[in-house]
Amino acid sequence: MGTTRQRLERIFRDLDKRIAEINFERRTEGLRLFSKTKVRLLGQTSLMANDRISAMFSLAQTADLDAVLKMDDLLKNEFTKLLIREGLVYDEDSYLIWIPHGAKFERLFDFENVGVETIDPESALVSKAVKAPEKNKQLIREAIASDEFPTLVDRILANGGKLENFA
Amino acid sequence: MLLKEIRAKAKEDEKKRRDRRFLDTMGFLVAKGFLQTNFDVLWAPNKRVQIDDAIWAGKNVEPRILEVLPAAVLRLGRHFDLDPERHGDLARVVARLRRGEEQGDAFYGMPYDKMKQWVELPLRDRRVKPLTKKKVVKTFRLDPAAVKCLKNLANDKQCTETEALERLLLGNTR
Repeated sequence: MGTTRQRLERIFRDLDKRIAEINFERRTEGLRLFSKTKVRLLGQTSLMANDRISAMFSLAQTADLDAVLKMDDLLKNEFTKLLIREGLVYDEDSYLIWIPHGAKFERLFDFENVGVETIDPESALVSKAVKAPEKNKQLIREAIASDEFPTLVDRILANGGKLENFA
Repeated sequence: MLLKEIRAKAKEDEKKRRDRRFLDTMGFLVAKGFLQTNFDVLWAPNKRVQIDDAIWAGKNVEPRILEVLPAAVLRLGRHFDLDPERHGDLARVVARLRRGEEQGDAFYGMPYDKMKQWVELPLRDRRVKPLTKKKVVKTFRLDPAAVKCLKNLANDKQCTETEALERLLLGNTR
């Protein structure tokens, strides 16, 4: 199985290969080639894929993979098949995930046909604290108590979150 | 003041993560593939999980347990001690999931549609089929001529009689 990061690397490396194969076929058929796809990981997956955060917190996740995908439907289909092989399911509601103002995206993998970024951990935590406090209260408490995120509390409050949810 | 309370609760959470009820429940759900963790959990795929323990762990340590619990109970019922009288809310959600209902009540704050998606999750043990792929036993009293015809058809197609019947009904799309 390996760590989340290792599993994701397997998935995206295989997706990269698959896109190369598809593009090879399309080239011989005279069709337009797919340009480099972009994936932005959000939510729990983004935290579990981050080695520093993963070493700091005890994290659990369902099989959901939250991500914003910038790819053709045909490639998305290939991507979801690869996810299922690793026991994961793409969350079609990922586009509904709120990304707080000031979020930054950090590069995770950069293959020839696939670029993968993750939302910065503090922004992922702010999003969880504001939009799904009940489901994430233990994690937010742990993050606040860790003192690793100096602006976490301010950003939660500035975005309408309530600290009472975690006390 | 609030921050002080949050820090104190975070310390309590740390203790709760070592609680047997949490570890037992996670050991089972992770082994089956309903949950994944970044920390070591002793896999317990054959465990019989106490529903009270799972609910305690979901409410006090990891809320995602509550999200997957109804689907886990539905699909792996023999591993849980579900008692409809004591666990009425859970039993009702499981019954709705079994009937394939589109909408239902939340379970400890978990929306029904979030819980519903795990009914179809492919599990590590490929023998455990998603609900919509589970075979259903049906009994028919057929005319002997029809039985002979079905047998011949299965021979011709080199498949079982059930597969021959399914192909006739569903077309050769499978």
